[in-house]
Amino acid sequence: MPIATDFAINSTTKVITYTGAAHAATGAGYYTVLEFHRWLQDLADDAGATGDDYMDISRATPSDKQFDTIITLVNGYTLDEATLAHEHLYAGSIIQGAGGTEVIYDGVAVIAGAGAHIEVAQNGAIIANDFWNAIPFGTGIKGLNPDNANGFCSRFMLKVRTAGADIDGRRLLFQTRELGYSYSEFKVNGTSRGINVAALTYTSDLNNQTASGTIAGYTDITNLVAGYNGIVVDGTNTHYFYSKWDRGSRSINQFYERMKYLTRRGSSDSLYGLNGELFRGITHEVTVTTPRAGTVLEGVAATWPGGTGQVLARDSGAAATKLWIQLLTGVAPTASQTVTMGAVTVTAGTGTPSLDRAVPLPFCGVSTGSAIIGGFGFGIEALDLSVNDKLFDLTNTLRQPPNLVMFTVSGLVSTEDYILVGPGSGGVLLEAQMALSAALTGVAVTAAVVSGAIPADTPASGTIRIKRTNGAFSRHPYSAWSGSTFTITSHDFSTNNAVIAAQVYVSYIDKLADATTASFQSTYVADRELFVRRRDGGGTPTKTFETSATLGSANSSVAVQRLTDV
Amino acid sequence: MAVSINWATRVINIPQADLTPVSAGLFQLDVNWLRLALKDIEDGVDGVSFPDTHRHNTQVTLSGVTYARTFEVINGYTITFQDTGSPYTVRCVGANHNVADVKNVNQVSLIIGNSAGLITVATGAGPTSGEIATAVWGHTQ
Repeated sequence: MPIATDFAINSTTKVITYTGAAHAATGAGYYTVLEFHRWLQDLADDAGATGDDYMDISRATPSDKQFDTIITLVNGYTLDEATLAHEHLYAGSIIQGAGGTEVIYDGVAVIAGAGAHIEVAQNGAIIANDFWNAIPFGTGIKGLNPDNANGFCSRFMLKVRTAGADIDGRRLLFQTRELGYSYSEFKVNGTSRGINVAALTYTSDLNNQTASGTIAGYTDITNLVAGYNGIVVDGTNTHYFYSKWDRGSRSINQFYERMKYLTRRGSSDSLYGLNGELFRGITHEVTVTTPRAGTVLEGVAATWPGGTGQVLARDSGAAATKLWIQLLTGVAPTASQTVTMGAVTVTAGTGTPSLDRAVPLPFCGVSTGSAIIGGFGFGIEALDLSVNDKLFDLTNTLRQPPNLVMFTVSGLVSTEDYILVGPGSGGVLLEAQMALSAALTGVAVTAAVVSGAIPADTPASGTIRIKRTNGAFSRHPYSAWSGSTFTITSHDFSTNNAVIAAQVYVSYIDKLADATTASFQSTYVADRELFVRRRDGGGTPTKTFETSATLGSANSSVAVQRLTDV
Repeated sequence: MAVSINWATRVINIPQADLTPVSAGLFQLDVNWLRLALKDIEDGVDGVSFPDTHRHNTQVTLSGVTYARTFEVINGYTITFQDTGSPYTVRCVGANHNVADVKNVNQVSLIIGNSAGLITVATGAGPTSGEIATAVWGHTQ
């Protein structure tokens, strides 16, 4: 339809209304701002007005063009929002009014795969009227004014200034959050006049192909701690994260899909007090100091001069020195600003207190299909991690789980077989794995110190064998070890001492079988040769079973033989 | 008292009380009983750390004849019968064995009691009849 039939000009109010068909209806009209300007100018030089377009040479000039993409409606002419006139123009900006009545619609061109559903967050909320995702009549593909040959899935205008004031500094956040597809976002930190390009990705996510309804059932995935918490990811030290997710019975990739589900378009789930659709994770780390008042909570809104956000974590309630926030509007706190969270306040540090943090998409990070590479500060409980997972703590340092490997001996007879698994060397038991650095002679000895470091692959608790003066290797449970010291169950060494340099070895499995299998877990450092011995004397004796095995970077097992020896 | 092992020296100690008295100064050792006692030690908390004390082949029945089990002390273990201060003799029964080879010398003497039937020569085919005859005729008192 020609533009003249889709727009009308009110002679009294100077409001330009859209009179054409609605989005997605046949005949709906869309015009560039330049076409719009040309039409107005064409009318303005007419001798007299015709139809419903009250514009001719006798009337004030309706529009002015600075560039082909920047059109100013002058002399009181305005677009009629009630008839959605601005939604039918694209490829540039429209400026109207002045001073306290100034309104700006800036042009947007979105680069993404054809048919991408684009969400736009403005002033801390998703714009509900996403007219640009309409399906033009007859196309069957989402997106107004696409230019797929040049990579644009949609082109339109958004209002960024009203009543003479910019809406959140003209900041816009474009995002795609469609299950089954890659999540992406593009932030425009203040639109310019003309066309603002937002580059997004919208490609199939091969690690997210499960039906939405199925993922909805993954409700055993929960966030155990929504806030600052310590997790021993590397098996040794505690590091801090802003979440502690439990993936329940789900695989790590199912977990990833659940995270996408929680933050998908149309989500009704809430994360840290925000709707999942709006949740992005930590955007800024803010150093705070005194004066403080009250106890800082997590998952609460925060405001400061020039911005708002949501507190996802803090390092202390009463004496916080760090806040990790998701910025919602404006800019992050600057030096010495007061950050207010209800009745609670803290003060931003001096200098540059706010540090930008990269926002992962989705917020949990990416999945390789069998492992997750976490986003900044995103935590998963240690039990749910495996060696190929990578997490980044709140210092943005990579934390990787140890490779926990299991060695299992099967084929045992409970209460009959005694099983010993110790270090091996050349196919025999390595009794000299370690040596005491000092004699054990006390009445109640609780520590055994060896020369050199205890092998790093030694289980956190278990049993060791210590050679005594009578030649026997006594068995000693230990509850912990560190450096060169085993913390053992109190034992009397006052007689039958263990001399200095006495042999010591870890007996990885050392017990009378209480099931058909016995196992131990350790952290893989290097291949470990093991020596396995099973014996059963007594009423129905069997021949001794001995073998050597290697515990490598994957779980390993040995099935014992039981040959009668009567 | 019971059979015990000194792990430092790998000496298996057999108390006289564990032997069966036969007559004055003569006691009997059931070698299979000794084997089972050793196996009981081997599968204990102390014993499991150490190598096997012995090798055992059970008795075999062939054409209605049951051949005796064999018992061989290995891995450097030795046997000491309790030295009571008075000499006595131990008669071994129940298995062919190598106890005499690993017995520590003291006032206890041993009646081995091994019995061999058909044996296998480790190498060669054994002496010929001619070699035997030559050896007999060449023998001087």
